[in-house]
Amino acid sequence: MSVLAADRIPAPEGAITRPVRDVMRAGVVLIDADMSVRDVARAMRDRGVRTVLAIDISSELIGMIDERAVAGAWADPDGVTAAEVMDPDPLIAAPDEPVGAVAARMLETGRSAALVAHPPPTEESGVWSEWKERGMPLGTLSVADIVGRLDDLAAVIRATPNRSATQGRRVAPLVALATILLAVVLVVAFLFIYASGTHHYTNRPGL
Amino acid sequence: MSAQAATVAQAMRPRLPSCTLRTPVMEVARRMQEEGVRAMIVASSGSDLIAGVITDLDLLRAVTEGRSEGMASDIMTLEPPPSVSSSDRLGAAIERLRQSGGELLVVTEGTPARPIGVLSYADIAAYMARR
Repeated sequence: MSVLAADRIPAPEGAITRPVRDVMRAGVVLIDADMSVRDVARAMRDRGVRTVLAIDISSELIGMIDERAVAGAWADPDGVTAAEVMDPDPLIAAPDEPVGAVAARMLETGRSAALVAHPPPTEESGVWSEWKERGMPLGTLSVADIVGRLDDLAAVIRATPNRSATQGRRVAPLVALATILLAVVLVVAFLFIYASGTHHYTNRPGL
Repeated sequence: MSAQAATVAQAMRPRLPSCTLRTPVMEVARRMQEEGVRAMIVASSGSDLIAGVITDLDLLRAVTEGRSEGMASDIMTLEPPPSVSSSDRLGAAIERLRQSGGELLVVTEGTPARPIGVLSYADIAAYMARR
């Protein structure tokens, strides 16, 4: 399904109709919630990520931490723990959801990243506890992932002439020309048949 | 040495992640990705004058609204980010950034003040990891 969707991308914006799983950054970096913010900053640097997930002592996911949250503890990074700066209620995206739907939630809430996880089976069941039962999140989706991916796709689309945005405007004259040619051919054919028919009939008495 | 005693110069990014008013939106996205920041400075070409700023969410909005074929000037916020001096206390600068609600500060030096870099959340997190 996702492969077909990718083949039908008409313009860079079309990429936001792709499922989250195609655009997300797969895999997550987990840290202990009681880790110091200094160590969180180091984990981000060493793993090359801008978002980490905090787990508690029973390995249950309890929050998300980004660079902004880390910077919030600048005054005492060794004395403040991850649990104190994490976002306990981050955006969560389902892997099959269109990227555009998550983008809308990001713009609404002013957040630059979302977790990608399978949704809970019912509205009532707590998302966080569901994570534990359903396994770890699949990855994260950040604005950079979306916008960076669109750039790649736009380049591909630009390099493929039959997918250019002006295609629609070029089709109209071609259709008109084809219609006129077809009409001319039909008229000539009709006249030919009519003329040959007339010839036939007018010649008949002469047989 | 704690961040209270540190100066902006110790944590800042010593260059301006910038584009001009006429840079295509997709090129802005590419440079932002390359720089690893969540905002780009929009500068007038060939001068130190800062016209505004484009955040990653501005880019996302442009793309979702089908305006990705435009230029930087079509999607930027017409207000330059707040600026601090490279010799300012880092802690005060971080508080300034947090209060501004933006993604970065412009770091200036000298008189008249010339922009020489930026201080973003990524730079602050990297600084905290170094100490």
